[in-house]
Amino acid sequence: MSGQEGPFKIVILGEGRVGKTSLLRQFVSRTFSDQEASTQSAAYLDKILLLRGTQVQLSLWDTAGQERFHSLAPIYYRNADGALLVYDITDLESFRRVAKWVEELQVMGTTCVLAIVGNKSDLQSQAKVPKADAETYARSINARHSTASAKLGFGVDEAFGALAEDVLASRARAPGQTQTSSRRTRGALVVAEDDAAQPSRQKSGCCGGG
Amino acid sequence: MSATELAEDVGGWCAIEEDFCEQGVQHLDMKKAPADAKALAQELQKVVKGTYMPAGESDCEPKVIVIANAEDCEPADACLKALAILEDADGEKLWEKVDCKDEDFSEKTLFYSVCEDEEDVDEEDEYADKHKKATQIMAKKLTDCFHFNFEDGIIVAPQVTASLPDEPWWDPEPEKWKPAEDFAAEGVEEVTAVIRSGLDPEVGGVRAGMQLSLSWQWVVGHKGSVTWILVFEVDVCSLENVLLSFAAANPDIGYCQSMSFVAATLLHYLPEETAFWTLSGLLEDVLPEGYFASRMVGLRTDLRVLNVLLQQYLPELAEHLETQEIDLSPITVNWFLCLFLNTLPPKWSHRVLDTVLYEGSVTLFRLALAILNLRSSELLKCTSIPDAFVYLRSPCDCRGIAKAAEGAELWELMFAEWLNDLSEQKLNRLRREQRRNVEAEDAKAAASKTSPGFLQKMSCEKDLSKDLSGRVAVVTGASSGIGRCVSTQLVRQRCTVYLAGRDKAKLELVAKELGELARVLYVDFSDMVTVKAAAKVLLDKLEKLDYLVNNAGTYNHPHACTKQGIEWHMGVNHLGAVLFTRLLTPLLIKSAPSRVVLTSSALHYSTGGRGRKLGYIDWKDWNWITRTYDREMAMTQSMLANVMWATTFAEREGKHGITAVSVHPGCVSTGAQRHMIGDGCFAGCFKCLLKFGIRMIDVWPGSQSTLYALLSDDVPNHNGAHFAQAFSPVLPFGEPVYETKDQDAGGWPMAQPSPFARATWLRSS
Repeated sequence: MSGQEGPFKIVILGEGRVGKTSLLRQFVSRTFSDQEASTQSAAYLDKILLLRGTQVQLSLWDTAGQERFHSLAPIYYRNADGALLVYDITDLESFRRVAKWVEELQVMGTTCVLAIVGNKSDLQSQAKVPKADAETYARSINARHSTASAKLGFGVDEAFGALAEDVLASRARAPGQTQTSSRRTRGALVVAEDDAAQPSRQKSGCCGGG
Repeated sequence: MSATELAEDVGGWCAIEEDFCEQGVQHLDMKKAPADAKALAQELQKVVKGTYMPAGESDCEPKVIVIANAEDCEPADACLKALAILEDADGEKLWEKVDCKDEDFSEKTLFYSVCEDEEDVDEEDEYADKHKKATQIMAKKLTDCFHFNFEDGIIVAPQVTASLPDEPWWDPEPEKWKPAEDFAAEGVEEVTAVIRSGLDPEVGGVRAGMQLSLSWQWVVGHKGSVTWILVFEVDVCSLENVLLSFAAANPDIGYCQSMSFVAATLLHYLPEETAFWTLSGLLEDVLPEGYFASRMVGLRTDLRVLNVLLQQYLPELAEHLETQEIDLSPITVNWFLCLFLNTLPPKWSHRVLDTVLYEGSVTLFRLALAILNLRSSELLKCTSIPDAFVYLRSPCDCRGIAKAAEGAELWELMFAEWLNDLSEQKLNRLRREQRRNVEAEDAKAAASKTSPGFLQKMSCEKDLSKDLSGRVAVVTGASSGIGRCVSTQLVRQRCTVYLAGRDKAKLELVAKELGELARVLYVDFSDMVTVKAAAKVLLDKLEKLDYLVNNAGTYNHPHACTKQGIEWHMGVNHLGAVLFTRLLTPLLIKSAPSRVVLTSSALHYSTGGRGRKLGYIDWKDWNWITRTYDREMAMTQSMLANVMWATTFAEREGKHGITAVSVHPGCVSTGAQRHMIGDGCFAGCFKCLLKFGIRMIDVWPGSQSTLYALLSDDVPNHNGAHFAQAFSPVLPFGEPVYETKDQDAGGWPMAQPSPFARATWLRSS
């Protein structure tokens, strides 16, 4: 059965120089290589994915990573269906920025589907962000986590594809709801329990007060 | 000469007549203006004040022109009278008649210029002047340089023929800036090292340096692609020098990603040092403040201004965009940030840059509106921003989807009649309006960040200003944190407060600070004997007791027992409080209506976090004899016990006029977490928290649920309930403690604090 879905708005967030644009180019140019040499700057790109016989149209918005552009970010993530949070596996600071983005998205009440991608997996020997930590964190916010190398093209399609699938799934579970998906959907931002899947017993809250 | 132009020549102005209202910085509608001359004078004065240009916009003289159309003489007369009053009031001449012999304007119109004190021209202005001069010359320079050849819109052979004047028109400060030749001689690394060493790492200077390496890769990487901007070669070394120098000169702006477009374009026409000065002039003087600086307030303001202008000049399009919920900002932000350099082909974008240097930032709005106007027929069919993107991203080349806009066409539209009244003054007025919105937005964002995820709940002013004279309160754990804060507030409301605790010296200090209404009471909740003794003291001394705040508590304490051999948390947090309350119950009944507050925590529901366990009390072993001690659970069970006990106590004693509730203060940063740090089990957790930042609220918001429970008139209607501040989870493990985020957001009272509180409790009693 073939059908068409979308367009879904996907926004790519992350600190500067983690390779957001490169990931996007790697992902998009293989299908759209003839259009890639376009005048369009990295701000916005289109891509149609084939997921289980369904054509899924993705509108991909790239953002500038420099810290000061943070204040412009709401322009981009407003009404986004999914967010790809990119960090550089060789840069711990960039991973912390991911947490800040998650916080911001939470504060703004965005309910888009999240995926975290550690880029530059070709530089595994210089990795500073432990994969286990990243995965644990991703699980704690109910996001997917994967690593990719925009340079070599590893894991790029998988990262975008998985995010697209999650977006599709969250849409399927919450039909009729366009921008604000249901709270409990897997992969959506505000998900409460996943007790069994939580391996470590790190405590979250601290205390009451006093 | 039009009214606008004339007014602009004189500076800021004020149009009295309706015809000119649109154009005025501030205006007074004469039809609605007060007929009384005195009232009108006041109105005028307001307008004068409102129009007064804030410091920094030095090109606007602090004057206001009142234009009164003589055709309809009455307003003019009224104004004259009003102005005369102004003159009298201040004892000096505040206005002057301006001669206007211009034919277009004729003698029908009277002009009055309302004077303001002239601003002192200080030294800083000289610096600004220099920039201004630089940009003016640059503007001329660019125009002179426009002799390059185009082939299909791509510069193939830049012909920068015009030479710069021999005498430098800029005035470099030799001790600060090296001549361009030196830069070239020393090589990139040394120069950048020199510049970097002078940067303050705290203000983004070094960061700028780091980011730079990326930026020219970006720039160079696009060379040869169809991307318009950098089809020409730019000396990377020069680009770095210019940008780094700018970052060094403007540490609070530093380097911003889009600057490379501008700097590279300037370098195309100008030598390094001149390019630097021009960039400085452009970014510091020509463009409004805060375009590139942190938070980009200026830029965001201009995006909003553009939306306002869109409504005014292209109402049909504005309406369409609104109904389709299309916000063009993702596209327009790029226009403004890169000054159209990566939007239009160089032939036109460079001319735009030239015009910006000549005319000011108003050019950018002209062009933006012209593009939107030219593309409006297509845009009116767009239903989403990606649709619009196709037409707007590069309006002169739409990939064959639509007819490409001709640069000349745009140019004509930019300066056509429809934009005649678009002026820098008008922009500045709109900017002031919109800037307030942007700042409000920022303030809101900042506020939501201090209470992440949820808004903190605060007591209302009415409750906090009640007069509590003659009332008596006992607050346990009052030497610090919430206990102290609550006591202070109660004393402020003239309530007599007994500060109960075990650190006498500290309590004395607090009591001294609070004054005569504060008394000290020794009690140690880990020893029931002292609890009994303290209660006896109170029973003997007091005639009445209105408020009992059982605030003393311990959290995450290592395994220990109280004097009576009870597990520490259960003993101190729960049993101590319960015994104290029960002993004082007769007094509370006597003083009815009275209130009892038991401090608990949202953690009574579960331990929270990923490995969270739902709160429960093992009644067979609540003293942790047969089980391995788990202090999180031990704390949780004492919290749960307080919630449940408050409920049953309220049921039992409610009929006697006692209101008893439990509260969750929030995740408050007080001394109570002292045991969380530095011990094996929690050290890891704590490190983790440090890594991502703990989110704790201050003591004052943390005291709100307690104060609400004590002071709000609504509380007796919810006897036995749990009152919770928003939970404020710790990121990134910010999972709800409760089942839902809504519950985590707290509630006064909480609809459902714990599903099993009652069931468990009944077993115990």
